[in-house]
Amino acid sequence: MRDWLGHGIVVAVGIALLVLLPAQAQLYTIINATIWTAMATLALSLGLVWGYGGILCLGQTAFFGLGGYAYAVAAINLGNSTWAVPLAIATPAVFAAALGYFLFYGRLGDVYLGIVTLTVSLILFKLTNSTSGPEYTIGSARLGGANGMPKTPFLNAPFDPAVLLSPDTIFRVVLGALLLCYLFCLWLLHSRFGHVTLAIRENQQRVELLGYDARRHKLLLFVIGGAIAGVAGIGFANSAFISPALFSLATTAQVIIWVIVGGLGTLFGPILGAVVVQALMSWLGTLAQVHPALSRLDPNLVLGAALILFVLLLPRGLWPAVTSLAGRLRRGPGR
Amino acid sequence: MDLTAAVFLQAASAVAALVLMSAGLALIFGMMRVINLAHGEFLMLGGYATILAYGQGLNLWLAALVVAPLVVGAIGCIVERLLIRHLYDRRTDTLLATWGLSLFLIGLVTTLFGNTTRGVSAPLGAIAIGNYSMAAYELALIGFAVAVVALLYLGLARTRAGLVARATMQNPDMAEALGTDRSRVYAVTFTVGAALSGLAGGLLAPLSGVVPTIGAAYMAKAFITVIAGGAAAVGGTVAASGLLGSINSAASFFVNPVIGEVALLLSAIVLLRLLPEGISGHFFRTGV
Amino acid sequence: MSGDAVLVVKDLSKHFGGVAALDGLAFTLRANELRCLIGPNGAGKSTFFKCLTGQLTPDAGSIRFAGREIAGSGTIAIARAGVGLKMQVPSVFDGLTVRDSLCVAGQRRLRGRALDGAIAEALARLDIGDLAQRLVGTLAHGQRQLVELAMVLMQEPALVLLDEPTAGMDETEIERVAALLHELAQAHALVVVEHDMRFVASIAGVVTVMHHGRLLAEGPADSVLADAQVRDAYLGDGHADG
Repeated sequence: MRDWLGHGIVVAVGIALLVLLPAQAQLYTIINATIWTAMATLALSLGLVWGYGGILCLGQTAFFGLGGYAYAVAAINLGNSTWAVPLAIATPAVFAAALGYFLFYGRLGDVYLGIVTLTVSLILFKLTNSTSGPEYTIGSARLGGANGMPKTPFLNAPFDPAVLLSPDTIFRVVLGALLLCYLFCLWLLHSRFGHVTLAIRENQQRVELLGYDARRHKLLLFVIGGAIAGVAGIGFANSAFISPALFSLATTAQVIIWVIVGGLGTLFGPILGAVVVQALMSWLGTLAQVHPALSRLDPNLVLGAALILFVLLLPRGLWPAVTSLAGRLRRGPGR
Repeated sequence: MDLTAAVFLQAASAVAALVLMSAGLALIFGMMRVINLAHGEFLMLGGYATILAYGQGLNLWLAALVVAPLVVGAIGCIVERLLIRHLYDRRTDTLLATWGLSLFLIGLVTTLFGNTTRGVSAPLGAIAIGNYSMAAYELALIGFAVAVVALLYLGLARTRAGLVARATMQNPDMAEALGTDRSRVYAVTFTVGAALSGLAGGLLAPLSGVVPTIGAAYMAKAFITVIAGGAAAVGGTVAASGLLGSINSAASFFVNPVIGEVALLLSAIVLLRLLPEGISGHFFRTGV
Repeated sequence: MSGDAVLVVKDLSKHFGGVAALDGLAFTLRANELRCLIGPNGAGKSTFFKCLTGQLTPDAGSIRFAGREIAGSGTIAIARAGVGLKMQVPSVFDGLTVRDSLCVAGQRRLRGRALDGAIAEALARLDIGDLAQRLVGTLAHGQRQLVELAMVLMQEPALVLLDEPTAGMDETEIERVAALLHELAQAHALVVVEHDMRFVASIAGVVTVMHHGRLLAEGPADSVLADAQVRDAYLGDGHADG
């Protein structure tokens, strides 16, 4: 966390991408990049809550999906994305507040907490999956069951529904949002609140003996994580499409793998993990076209093997390995 | 009258299915505090072993009762030696590694056998209960569940091996000081748990068919049941299965199956809130 | 030795199953008093501390601290009221540096330069300044005890409870702690649970002896330690309830 150089590089690269990528790349690449950025934001939210707060939330996808669905429903009903955005952030945040209250004030252990959060995401999956008929609408928005909501309106210029944003602009907005969330988390972790959060992760009992209400801290962190996941959901709604798959076990597994591969306990690690793993899956997909035998290779095989290998061999993840290598190189040989 | 009987038997069958699904996981979790997220895939593998063996001409009962547990038991043994053994005392890492294993197994089976559903029709036909009819196989499940519970109980409570396993679980260091080989106990326990899961998967296969991703459906319910049951592998699982299975069945019957699933999950959450140690953490604490 | 009573405990009882861990305990402490609390295993000392910090709720009796009834209040509220606890097994933040740990301890009351000043003072007082940037998890047991004590002092508690503060320390560290406790008693009320009788004799004015959950004897160190009843209690009239 004291590594300002690392953070500086990350932010600089982010800004460079934001400015330069749309001009260099084709539409297909831009849309993919937007999806990856949205997922990276989701990974960041879990990295914050789990890596820094010590909260084993296995259902972060619940807030992701709620954000996506809230945006879609609001944008369709309002005909205008301007208020849909804050609604899509507030909905998962409120849900996180309620769920968090149940979890932290009930003093559930971390294993049970993981199970409950996972179960919640699964419940949302089952519920949205069963909304196929035309009677399942919120306002004028049909939920669509397993088929999801493919006709979600894109973001428009603030307060002006006639001006829809182009994919290039949407990419910039989504990446900009990720950068803002990253900087916000950086600020948060260096604040008094952040110090207490880290201490709670180390020893909650001692923190309470020092007079802090640890449950309130965890709840607030959990809500912030939920809100950031909601932001990711908006990004996803504007680049892919909203369906029950957002809540699924498969998506949850992927987010956790991104965080582990990238580096639990760092801010950039989860983002890196999300990009690296998604790039890997994408590359495997293209490989399949070159070698037909490989097309039978199921992506789960690779994901699973990657997760096992990382847990056994590189448990701290990619980013800590990179930074510690960089640190050793900087200090020079012979130290 | 027959409505009551039919509902009751349906519920009993649902409970039996839950017991079968959860027994292997309960053994591993109860004895070793290892949360095996690949448990669903062990069930899935048992189902595949059964259906593939049956497809080769083997008798269905042999396939389910012999081939499935042997195959999955062997896989479990390999998994324990190669993976789980390195991660004792690392709870979160175990969770993640077994999740990786789960994905790996799903990917492997999909690659080898494709992802279309394979099925085999349930033997024994239908049985009439007054005006209602029910698959006799579902009733047979009740018998199998009882047998599994009895075997498990006797194995843990009445045999030397069971006693050694329980002692190792309570206090591994002490047990080692008294001469037991802790890693051997863990290896055997995990293998037996895997074999049980294979058996269950084989028995349940005729009801729902097999597809590589069927593990997830089993896993969620088994997991919830085991955690809600608490540390006692037999007592807790039976109690939790009974409670959650009945709620699932009732809600499915009176509303619809989706609500039935949701009701099961919700009741488990409420149960855990009230009894954070699971049912057997608060009632019959000294039981098996 | 003079001063108003800062802690008045009356008739405190707590049962676990059928066992009475506390059985009508009475205890009074004045401001700026240094009291040692001794007693054989099972006497109820830990249970008493847990009731004082809010980790346990007593079944009966009253605990008045600085004029307010705190029996049954939660840990957080009691900590804010001014009670600090240094635990038997050091309860610290292994993953944080010593400096960051003190920062967390003090930032609820202090900010900016006042906070930095208080941290510097705490580091100096316990002579752990050279450990400031070390991760607490890498320190030796005795050093962790000192870090925990420093964190507690950052709370500026009116009442400091210390559960076997010298366990695992060497001679120099023990002497440092003895001197520190005397110095602290000028501004705080202290209750120290100890088993090391030499240490008790060297620091205490008044010693309270607990046995079977109640007060057995109370008085100056030398007379209490020579008391026949106290010797009997330690040498065992049968049961060490653990």
